[in-house]
Amino acid sequence: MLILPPIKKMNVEQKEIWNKIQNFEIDDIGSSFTFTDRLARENDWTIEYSLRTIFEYKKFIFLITISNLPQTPSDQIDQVWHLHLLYTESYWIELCKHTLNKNIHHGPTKGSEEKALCKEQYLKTLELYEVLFNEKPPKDIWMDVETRFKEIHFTRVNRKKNG
Amino acid sequence: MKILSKITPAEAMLIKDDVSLELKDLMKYTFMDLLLKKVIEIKEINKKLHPKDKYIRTYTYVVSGKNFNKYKPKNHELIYVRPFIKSQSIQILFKHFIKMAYESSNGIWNYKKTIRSNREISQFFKQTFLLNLFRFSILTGNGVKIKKEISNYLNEIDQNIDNLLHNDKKKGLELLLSIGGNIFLLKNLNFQLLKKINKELLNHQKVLYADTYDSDSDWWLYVDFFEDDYMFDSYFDSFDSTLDSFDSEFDTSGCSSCDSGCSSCGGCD
Repeated sequence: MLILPPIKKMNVEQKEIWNKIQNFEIDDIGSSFTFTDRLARENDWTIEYSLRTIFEYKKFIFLITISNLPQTPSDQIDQVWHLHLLYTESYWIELCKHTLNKNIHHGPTKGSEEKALCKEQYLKTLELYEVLFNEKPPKDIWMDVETRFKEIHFTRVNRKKNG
Repeated sequence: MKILSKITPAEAMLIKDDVSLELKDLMKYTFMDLLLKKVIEIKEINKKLHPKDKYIRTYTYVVSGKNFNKYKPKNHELIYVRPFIKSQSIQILFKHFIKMAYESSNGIWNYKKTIRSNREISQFFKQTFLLNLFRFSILTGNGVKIKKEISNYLNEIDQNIDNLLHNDKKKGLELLLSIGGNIFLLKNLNFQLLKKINKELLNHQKVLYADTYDSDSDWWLYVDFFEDDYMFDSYFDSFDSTLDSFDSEFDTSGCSSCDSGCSSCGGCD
């Protein structure tokens, strides 16, 4: 069984990676309808909440980048991730290839048989977050594990058609 | 005039002239006041999007300022400050920051209500259910009195400030420091002159003020502004143009712009 040494707070190399990710801009500043605007509209979030969730998404990407273990996001962060994946050039070229030099794949759950594993991974992600960022993840974006895997029954709705 | 050292420009404007105020002005002066106090700061970064990018672009961000942790925000300032309370290291693109604040303001009536709820000025406004229901705002007797005093005081400074800054800088500086962010309400103030304030004069003011420490005043936050060469006043225009650019499409009840879909990319080099 492989035992990994406990992760302590960020080392110099990790800080450099975090700075790169933090400074990576998903929004196109020349665009009138940006990634943040689209994220807010599609999820019915405020701009403030969308901005904060994107920031947390960047932290999540950082955790994946520096860890050898799979990481599980909250549902909110997952929505940012899904949307970013649609901006293919930004995600695969600008972020993965040119900024991180690492491909980060999104793996949708295979079904209820993975639920226990996902829960465990999510808890580990929260722990890793706390260690490396020296603060607890904000609860309104990183839900507790029970809520995370209970409130997942979403449906896409056309608001113009359905009122 | 002591009260002007304790209230923000938005609060002073509301007391002076509630009726004709626009949301844009209340928001703008609040934003500039927070910049002045270095609770928030603007950071311009020239960078490539990624190391292999051919182009260097200028990104303008709003970040928490050096006085962020020292400052207790008022209710109406939270629209700007709240994201940093939750994540102090977040950096937000300028245009998103203004849009976020506009959305959080919930419209002119609600924003005025938020300003009126601040401890320093709530006593100057009548608060009744009917007034709230019909969206009227009426000053109390004390409110009418303070309105007159504030208007007269600011008019007097306005008429004399240019002369003072040329001929009696010490007096001019003392006056400006005593009214804090309300310097934005002066029509005759030449901000370029402020950049030439002698550092010795500033130090003298600090010594004088240290003997009369007032914990309710933000005097110490404002004095920083005069020490730096921070070119914050250019952001007046940026604020207006940013708010105007999405004001017509943006609705506080939700974004209704852009119904376009996506397009494909022909491929990259």
